[in-house]
Amino acid sequence: MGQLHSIVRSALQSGRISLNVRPLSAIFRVEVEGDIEVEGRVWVPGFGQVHIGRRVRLLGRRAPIELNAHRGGHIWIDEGSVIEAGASIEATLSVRIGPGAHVGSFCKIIDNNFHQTSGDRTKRPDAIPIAIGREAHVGPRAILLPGAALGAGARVGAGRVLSFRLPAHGVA
Amino acid sequence: MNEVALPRFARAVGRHFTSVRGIARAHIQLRGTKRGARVRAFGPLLVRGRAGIEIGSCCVFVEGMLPTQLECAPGAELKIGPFTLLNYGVTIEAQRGVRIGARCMFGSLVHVRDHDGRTTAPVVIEDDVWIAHGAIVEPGSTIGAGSVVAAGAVIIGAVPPRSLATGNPAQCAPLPHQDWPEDDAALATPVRPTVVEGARHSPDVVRAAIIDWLDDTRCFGDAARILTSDATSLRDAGLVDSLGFVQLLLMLEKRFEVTIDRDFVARHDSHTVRALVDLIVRP
Repeated sequence: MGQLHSIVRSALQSGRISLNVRPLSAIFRVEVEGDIEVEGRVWVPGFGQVHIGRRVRLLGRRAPIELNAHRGGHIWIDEGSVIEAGASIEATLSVRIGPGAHVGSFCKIIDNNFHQTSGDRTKRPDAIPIAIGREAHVGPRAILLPGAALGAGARVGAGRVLSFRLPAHGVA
Repeated sequence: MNEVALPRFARAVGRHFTSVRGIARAHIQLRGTKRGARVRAFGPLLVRGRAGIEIGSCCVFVEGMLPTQLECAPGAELKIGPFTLLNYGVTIEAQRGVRIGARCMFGSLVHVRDHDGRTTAPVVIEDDVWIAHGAIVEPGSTIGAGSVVAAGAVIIGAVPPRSLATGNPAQCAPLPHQDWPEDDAALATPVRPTVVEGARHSPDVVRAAIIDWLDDTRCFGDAARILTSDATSLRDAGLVDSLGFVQLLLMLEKRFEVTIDRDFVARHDSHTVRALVDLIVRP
């Protein structure tokens, strides 16, 4: 099963060796189907599962990319998606990025608010899974909050904050 | 690497080690600053102007993909209260003064500054404030105790205590009440909207406006089907969260030219269509 070494190999093959996957224990948690392209640093701190499909491009040269699957959480990045620098994906349950989707730089995608707006803020509310459809586009610095979902080909503008469903080919 | 049933003492040792590591790191990275006991830092910090920086006890700087940055000009003060938590990539710049209260929470990539190149005005953030990911606090802002700043909001000016600030520039609305038990008096106070004269609206028009808004922004034509009765809570039906409810209120205020009382959100049934219709129809 291709894992971290295949990330390293693909980085070497593409001639970009500024790779730094951190921490090293990510080797147990990142599953790669192969043929991916990684630039710069990818940070995989959580104890959940991260699954990266074929021909995915992680372009983290300008700033690191964070793929943070908490314990029991899953992140799927399907075939041919592009994740740009500084993007941060956090999953306590599941985040799925569809085939060919594009996640712009410094985007934040989280499926849990982690705190309640008031009351006991140490209590973690329930997660709502996030799915991003085929060839959807998330603009730079957009924030997808729990409850967000993008249909196929939907487009989220730069800097937008989304916590609701966007239908196929919708624009927000 | 799934959940491993470690013996209790092993976990205690692990936690202790983590804590010691954080304290040691804070000791090195925050040297020269005034700081209380048990300040912990897990990620890299960029600190400039150490003399003016004061950090309360038990503050935590969380590790992440970008460093947290504290900048304090000579003669300025940058004060962080006890038990405050800062996620990664937070930037706090003080040319004159930034004061942050106790038990605040800062999400990742939050930016707080008291100068914008032309003006310099101190920033005050009171106790128990939660600032979510990517929000920006501009010079001269004050954020009242217990408030929540939504992700990506830009704060210019004052945010009253216990409110939710959303958008750019941020608009404020009171937080839902149920979470503030000490404030039970608010439940008893009668709700009286201020209706601009001549504005009388039929219940059907108001209801249609709410349904239309939900259809347009939330559920794409399914609102009438999801809301089986006027007494269904929009929140329980999954149509709005607290942020969405505030946006709905702002829409109603604008559309029907009313001012919705701050106490309204405090009512336990405020999330129903019936309550909203009553609020706007009743003079």
